[in-house]
Amino acid sequence: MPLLPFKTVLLISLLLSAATLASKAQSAADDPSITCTVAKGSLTDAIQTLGKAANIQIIFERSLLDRYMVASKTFTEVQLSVAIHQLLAPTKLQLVIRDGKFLIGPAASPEKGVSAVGSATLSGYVADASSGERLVGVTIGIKGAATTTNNYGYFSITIPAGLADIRISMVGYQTLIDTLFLQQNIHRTFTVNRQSIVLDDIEITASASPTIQQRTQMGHINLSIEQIQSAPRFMGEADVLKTVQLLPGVQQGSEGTSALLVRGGSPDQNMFLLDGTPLYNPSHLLGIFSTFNTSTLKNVDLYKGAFPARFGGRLSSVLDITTKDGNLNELHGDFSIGSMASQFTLEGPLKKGKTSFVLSARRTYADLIVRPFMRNMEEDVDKFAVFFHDINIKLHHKFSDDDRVFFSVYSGRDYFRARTGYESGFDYGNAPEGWYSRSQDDFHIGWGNHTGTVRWNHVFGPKLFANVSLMGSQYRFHTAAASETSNPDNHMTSDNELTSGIRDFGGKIDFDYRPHPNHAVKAGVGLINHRFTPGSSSLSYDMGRSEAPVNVSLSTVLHGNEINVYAEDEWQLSPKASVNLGLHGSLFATAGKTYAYAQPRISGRILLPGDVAFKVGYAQMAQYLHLLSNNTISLPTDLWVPATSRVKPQLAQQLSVGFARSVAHNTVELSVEGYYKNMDNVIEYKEGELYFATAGRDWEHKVTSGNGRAFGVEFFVHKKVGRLNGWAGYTWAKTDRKIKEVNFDRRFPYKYDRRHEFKALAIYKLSKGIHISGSWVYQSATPFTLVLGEYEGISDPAPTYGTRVVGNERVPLVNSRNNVRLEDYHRLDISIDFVKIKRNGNQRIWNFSVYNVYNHQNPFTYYPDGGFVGGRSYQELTRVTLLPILPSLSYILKF
Amino acid sequence: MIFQKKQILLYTLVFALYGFISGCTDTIDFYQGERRSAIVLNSLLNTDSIVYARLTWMNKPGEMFYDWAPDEIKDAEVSLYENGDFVEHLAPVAIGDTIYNAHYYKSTHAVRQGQTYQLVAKLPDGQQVSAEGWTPAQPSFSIGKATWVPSPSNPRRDETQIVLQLNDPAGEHNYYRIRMFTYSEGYVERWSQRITWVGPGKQGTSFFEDEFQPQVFIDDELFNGQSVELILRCENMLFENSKMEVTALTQESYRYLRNNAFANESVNNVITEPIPVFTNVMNGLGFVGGVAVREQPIEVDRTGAP
Repeated sequence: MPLLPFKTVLLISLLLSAATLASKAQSAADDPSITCTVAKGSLTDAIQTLGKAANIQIIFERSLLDRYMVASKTFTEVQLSVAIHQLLAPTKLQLVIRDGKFLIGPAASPEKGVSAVGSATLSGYVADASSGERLVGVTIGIKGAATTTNNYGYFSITIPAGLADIRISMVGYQTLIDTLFLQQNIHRTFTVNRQSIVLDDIEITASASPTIQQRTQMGHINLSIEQIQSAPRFMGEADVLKTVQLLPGVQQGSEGTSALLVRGGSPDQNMFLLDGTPLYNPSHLLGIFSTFNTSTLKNVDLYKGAFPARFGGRLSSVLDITTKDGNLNELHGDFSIGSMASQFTLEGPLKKGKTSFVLSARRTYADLIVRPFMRNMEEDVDKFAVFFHDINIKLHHKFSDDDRVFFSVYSGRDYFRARTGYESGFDYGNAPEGWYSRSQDDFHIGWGNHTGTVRWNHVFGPKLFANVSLMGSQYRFHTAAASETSNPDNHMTSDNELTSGIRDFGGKIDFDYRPHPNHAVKAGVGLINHRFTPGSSSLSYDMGRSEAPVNVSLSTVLHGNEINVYAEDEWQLSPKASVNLGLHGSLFATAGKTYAYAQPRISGRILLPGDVAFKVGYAQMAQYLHLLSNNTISLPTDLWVPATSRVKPQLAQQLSVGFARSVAHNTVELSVEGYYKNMDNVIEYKEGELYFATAGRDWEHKVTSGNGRAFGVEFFVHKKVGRLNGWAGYTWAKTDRKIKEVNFDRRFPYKYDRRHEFKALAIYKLSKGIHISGSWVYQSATPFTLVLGEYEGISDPAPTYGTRVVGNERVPLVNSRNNVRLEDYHRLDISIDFVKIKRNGNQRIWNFSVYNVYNHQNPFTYYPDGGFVGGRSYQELTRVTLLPILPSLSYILKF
Repeated sequence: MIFQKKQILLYTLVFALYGFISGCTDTIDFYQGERRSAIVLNSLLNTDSIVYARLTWMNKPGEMFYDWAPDEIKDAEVSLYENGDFVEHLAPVAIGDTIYNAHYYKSTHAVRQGQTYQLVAKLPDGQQVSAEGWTPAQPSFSIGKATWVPSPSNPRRDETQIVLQLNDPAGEHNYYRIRMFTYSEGYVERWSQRITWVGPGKQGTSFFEDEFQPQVFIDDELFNGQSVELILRCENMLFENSKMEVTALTQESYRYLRNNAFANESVNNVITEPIPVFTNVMNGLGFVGGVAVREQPIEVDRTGAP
């Protein structure tokens, strides 16, 4: 065997030596020597002390280390790994160095809580780092799996045990990236920092949330409160429902109102949930403002199709609104004054880190402005009020990481009162000297919602979360007129009152169970007792003198009990396919009749080539409540009534199909959805019934029912993040009704059947101090019922007498319900915020908004008119426009 | 500077409030184009009575309000058929004086209960309209003595309450119209009284609505086949020169007359939907249907009256 040349041997030796030295140097860098003293105390503190001394981050799960205590110990020129081993010696923990990282986890022998199959569950809450507010819809991504926090900020995810990088992200918050040694189940509250929208140069960073093509749910849009508050304001007020109206598939009702019409549904087919409690007629001032004070809101989710099984009770949409829990750490708040209303919100800790509160109030002050002008009126108006107010109160107490209790109250009310007096003396007519007559009329009308909710969140284990709610909700309309007249001879009084409304008491329990990384199960049961008061009136009068007072009262009260049970499973079949299977069962018992329906809910997603998701969803819905309403505008007198043996529950089936994809690094979501919805037993007043009627016992005989259809396609582009964000949507839709005894039993277009609709909202942060936003709405003409002509009618079989044709009235020719479409609707709204951060950290905003910038005369209604000029008659059609250009100014102070 | 800010705020508030409460109206070109007119045929076939039919042209909206003169069709041939068999041609007749008159087509035969009748009208230019209806039985009813009662909504005013005993035939769905008339001396002219039905089976409040109407329509759904006492109120104090009229209607007559009664109320009301009025005339507008009219004088109980 020939020997290697000497030079070669030397070279190899040098290289080996260099490699060994380098290796030793590298090893020393990875496991440095340290000199430090750890104090007597928890193992956690001791490990952290070692980490600081070595300037190395040691990864561990605090809950594992906190259970051990260590004595004081000094290490001198000892390698970090050796020091850690010494501290861990008496414990059941071990150190693992992997890829240069120091990880402390359970020792090899499994102890209780460690998964025997090699998986572990990470569960807990995600909260705002500053306020402690738990966040809804936060995405937690770990080891290729992902989940989101539920409405209570809770999440649970089970993954293979071991080292894992976790990524927690939400729009508007800095993404949190952490590494966990997940060897056993861990329960933890993660905190994330808010992106400072004002201090930064406003780049809301891209979200790492699952792309739209990864989500199974269809017909769901999450709105951030920032976007709602940045959208153009109406009369100085940010309004949730008006922002929701800018979404495709959602229409406003009459001009200016907050009523929602979702995918061809009617206004009563929307479920408004405020912290899980249903709210009826959630609007003020005849629907112009919504009842939701945006300063108190945390999250808004709209579902307009493919409803998850946990929702039920309405046919067309669910608007799930969550309010803030309150800042657990510091006192904060905001105050605003606008053209119509002022509000303040205050939140903070009652006991730091444990108990928090939110208090908010809003009131309009039109009466304060008008009152001075009433002094000049002929009649003496001594009491005058016209306003609405909202009050929100919420208390939150954290008993432990596993138990939290919430108590929330909402009260909103519209009110009008005018009390007038009139007095005449002896100079009135032929009255004798000293005679007088005093009269006073007092009229008031008011309506409002009141809700109260108590919720208890409990974590049963790493995979099971429960929420128990007790709730009450009431909508009440009340009006009264009283008059009093007195003179030297007599004293007369009369009182007339009317009350109507609905009151709910109920409770429910919801479970959130994550048994496996591929399954997210939700199940629950709820019970609601409804009490309907379609009409309760009383009348009393006292004519004085010798006549006996008269008291008459009439009351109609109806009861109904509703039970809802549901279960759903979000099942990840593969990385490219998932399905949500659910079943919602409901039962409604009312006088002499019980209805029960099983409502399947199915939606699925499959990823196609090109990273495009194909989605399909099917949902059946049952609604046991009807709203007796006229067909033109929503009024507070509209009455909620139950399904009865004669008036059946409303039922709907909806099929949705669509494609979705995100682009531009997941900052822009594109989707197109088609839907077909069939609605049965939708009701209307019979033609000719009086619309202001309060429902007595015969209300069932005044209504008729039938079928409704709606179908359409929605295109949606949504940019949630960035200096410029907002959305644009186009909808092609068609909806009609076929109702017995209406329109000669023929099918007719629904009142809000708008064929084309385009809406866009843009929010742009021009600079640190100037934010602008604008929205534009275009809707093709809505159908109206118009009189096309008139002709002679007949009411008697023979001319009854002499000279003229008597009783033969004019008959207006209306060939069909909603027979003409005249003018398109379009409107541009703009808003500009001047923002200033003061030295003390307070934020001051001046907002200037303009509604209907180019003053387009949008139609509210039409009516035919005519006259007789120069011997010839003429006819014309008059358009009524409700809302011309409306500028507004508001001032907001946040502290 | 503060003063300026306050001024700006005040002006904005006032301007916004003004804009909010001031609706705007404008007229648009909709009725300018000529619309093709339609033939209107009307006739109510009263059991055991001769037939009066009327032919007119449709008008533009509003025309009849200002100039009550629907264009009459006087030169048509109007034929009456009973159960499909020709009965007679109706004779044109002008009713009224030389200034105010109306043109009718009149039969010589009376229509009989339970038969189906068809009217066919042919114009000289060949246009033809037709419609048919059947004639119901006379209603069976009696009325009690009327009494004066204070108005619930205005105790300073008296109303008249009358109990109507209506005997509804069993086994069929029946419809009724109830009216009250006050006759001038000699029972030649009459004017309609506004009435309301207050019970039983009906409960409501007059808080928002003026429940008094010139006529009350009722079907027998709540009292089918029974003899029922309906409590009616007239908004005025009635005396002896008044009558109650009860008309039995066919389902089609009920639909038409009821629709017609409500339709005019809804035309200029911005918050109510205009109502399509039922028509059964082929190739035209109007209505032909059966009714059976019966009247009974109202006797007023003036016991205790001043």
